[in-house]
Amino acid sequence: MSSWLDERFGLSGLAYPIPRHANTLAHTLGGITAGAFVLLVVTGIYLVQFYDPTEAGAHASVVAISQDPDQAIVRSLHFWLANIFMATLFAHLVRTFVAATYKRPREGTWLVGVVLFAVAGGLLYTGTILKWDQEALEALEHNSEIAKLLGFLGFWFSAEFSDNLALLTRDYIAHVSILPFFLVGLLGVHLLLVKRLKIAPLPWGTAEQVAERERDEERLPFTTHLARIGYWTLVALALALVLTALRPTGIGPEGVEGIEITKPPWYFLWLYPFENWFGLKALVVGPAVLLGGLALLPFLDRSRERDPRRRRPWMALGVVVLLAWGALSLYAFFTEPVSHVGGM
Amino acid sequence: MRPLLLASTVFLLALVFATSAAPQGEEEGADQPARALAIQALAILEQGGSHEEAMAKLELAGQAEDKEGVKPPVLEEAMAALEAEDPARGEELLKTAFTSENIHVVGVTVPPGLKTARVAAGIAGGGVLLLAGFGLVRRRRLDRRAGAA
Repeated sequence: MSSWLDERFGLSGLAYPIPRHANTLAHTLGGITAGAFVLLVVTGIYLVQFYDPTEAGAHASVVAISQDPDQAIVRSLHFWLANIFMATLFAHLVRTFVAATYKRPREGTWLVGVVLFAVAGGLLYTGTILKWDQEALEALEHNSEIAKLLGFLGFWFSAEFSDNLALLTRDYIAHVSILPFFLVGLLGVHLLLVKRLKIAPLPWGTAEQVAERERDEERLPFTTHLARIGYWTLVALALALVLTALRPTGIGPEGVEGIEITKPPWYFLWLYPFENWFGLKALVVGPAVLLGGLALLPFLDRSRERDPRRRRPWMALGVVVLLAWGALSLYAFFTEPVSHVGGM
Repeated sequence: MRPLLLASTVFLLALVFATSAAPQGEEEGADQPARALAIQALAILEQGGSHEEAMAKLELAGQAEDKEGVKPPVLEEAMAALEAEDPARGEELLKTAFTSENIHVVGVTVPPGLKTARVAAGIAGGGVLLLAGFGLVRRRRLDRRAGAA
């Protein structure tokens, strides 16, 4: 059977050599993220069969989904897998930063990764709106306010852009087709670049030591890496199932316009204090600074040194950013919600 | 790849079991927790919204099965104040109707209609985790053997 498939699909071409260290968990995080994305697509395809993407029916359809055992399980899995997807994506980004694999000649791989990070953020944001409860309505109101703030550039995000479709329906289209289309396309380019430029050697030691280790390191077929990604993706699925059992995701009350009484999900929580201090423009400036900083990283940190022990200023900067992110998120979690879009 | 197939099969079987084991229509009702609705009513009044809209929310809060985090008698008093067209008094009362200081809606949601299915999901999760762990250990051994050869 395998030879029949190989003859027709050239599957043995996947058994090209990769260094042994590529099979460690730290180097499988990107693969787990992609695996979680596949599971999100599968659960998402199921959920769209029951979801009504209109303002009149969205909330009721999510309540109905929540009351049907199999639909509620799949919805909860979708929710937890999205959280795992974001967590492994974030861990992958941190690992790449520590190992400085964004340096020459892999700047392109990093830049595509940064855009993928932004697209993933867009998917999480649009997904939050779809449940059409109080939290969702507030997220959409922020979307509209930001569209106003951006002026002409915000036309795509404004309700006025389309006379025929409500913003919620357009958000749904973005969530189920536009953003996944971009994500899959960019992921293809990302993987192509990883294959073309090969997996970066471990960064520890001098340039000579790194080169020597790269030369001497044992090689394994890429198919062993794929198998590990498969097993780790199953671990992610198992975790999502256990979380579904312990804390199945619910749905909030149908939204009331013009009030703000919720806080964003954990991955956007760090922006909340900035919004409190500087207003809505912080929601444009904050992500722009983060994504811009990440995009510029390979061009600012230009030395060939990759060993984290010899890149102390960059490591210190990374720790400061992580600590600030954690502190801001915790601060936002414990503060009283403040209205930014309504009159409260 | 055999454990991978086995794990996927176990997951699918568990999901089928979960969906068939949970009796449809006998799960928790679709009503919202009183706390979420009372928060919305308060927010409507605080931003000068219609007191009828706030009353509608409070009426639903009064009917809710889940009254955790609110003081039902205070909610009733607030409702009476709104019925007497005294939104200021209603707002004042609503501010004291919660049992905790931090009033926001996160974590206050309709629980999904899962009971038996939750147990099945947990069992399926444990099963898939075991099989994935077995697969990873096996993969590691195979890689080591390949390295030694």
